[in-house]
Amino acid sequence: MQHRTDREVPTANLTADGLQRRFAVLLERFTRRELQILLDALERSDADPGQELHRGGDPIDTLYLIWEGRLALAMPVGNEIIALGTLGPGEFIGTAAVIDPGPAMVTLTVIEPSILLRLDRAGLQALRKAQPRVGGQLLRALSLDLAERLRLYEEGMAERTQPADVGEFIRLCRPLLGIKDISP
Amino acid sequence: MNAALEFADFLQSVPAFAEFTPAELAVLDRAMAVDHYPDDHQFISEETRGTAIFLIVEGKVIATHRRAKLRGVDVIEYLGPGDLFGLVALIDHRREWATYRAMGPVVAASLPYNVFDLLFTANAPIAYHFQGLIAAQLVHDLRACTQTLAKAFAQRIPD
Repeated sequence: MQHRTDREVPTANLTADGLQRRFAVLLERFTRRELQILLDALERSDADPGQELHRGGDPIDTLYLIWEGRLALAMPVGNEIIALGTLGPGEFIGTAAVIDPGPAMVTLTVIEPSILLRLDRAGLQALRKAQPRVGGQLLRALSLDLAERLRLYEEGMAERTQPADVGEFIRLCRPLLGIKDISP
Repeated sequence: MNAALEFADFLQSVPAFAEFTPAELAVLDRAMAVDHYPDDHQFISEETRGTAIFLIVEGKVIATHRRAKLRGVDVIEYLGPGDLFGLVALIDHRREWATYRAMGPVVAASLPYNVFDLLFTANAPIAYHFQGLIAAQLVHDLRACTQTLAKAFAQRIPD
């Protein structure tokens, strides 16, 4: 996996306030000071269209906050690759990976020039050790997101036995992967 | 198991609690109530708002969700010693996400929601460690759902 990282790029827009505005739901409980600490822990990564951040099955441990751009998600299922949708500014992916590293469930591909804010497992652990409150707040925020995803999935499954076709599989899978738009 | 005497030892043996200090484990030992439950005991119902999270010490627990019309109750996952449940409602303060029932006799420790919230609000390091456990268990639940869904769908695709 190649990342074009550049910590020296001016971060005029990457402010604590900007971070909270961009990721309003995830970071709504953070104070300005906590946001600054979190921002300092994140690594900026600029990515170009066509770049694969990882493939389904790859070992991964990184949370991506999408500051700008768009990523496409696809899942290998049986002999098929199912396109599940896209994520854009203000959305994030890799919650499970950063909390409990393991094989990627999806292939993640950049489809628009993107600015991503990365936090890998080591970074999370360092944050939790150096700033327990901020690390705890982040884990709580990510846990809330996970809880919401589980509820959306169960609501989607409530009347079903199993996905009847590709469209239904995609609709059911989207909340599990943090794709908020679950419309067809 | 002599619950009162051995729960602290159990906590020390669970890998998920490895990052807890002995002092924090002692706090958990005091805060959590260990009880024995009979076969088929319902710990949590998805119809209600629970009051505590549970840590399985011995035995097996089945997590199910009611599918309203089509096939009755659906198994989400099976949980065993060291697994936590009752976490979704703890986090989002809504009704429970699933129903949890004992499969045979179970020993489990419970921690009331309000005690956890108090620890978190009080900026207690133990609460942040516990938050890590909760997040990891939610990831486990999420992966179980994703794998179940993908497997069900894959079975419908002809080779």
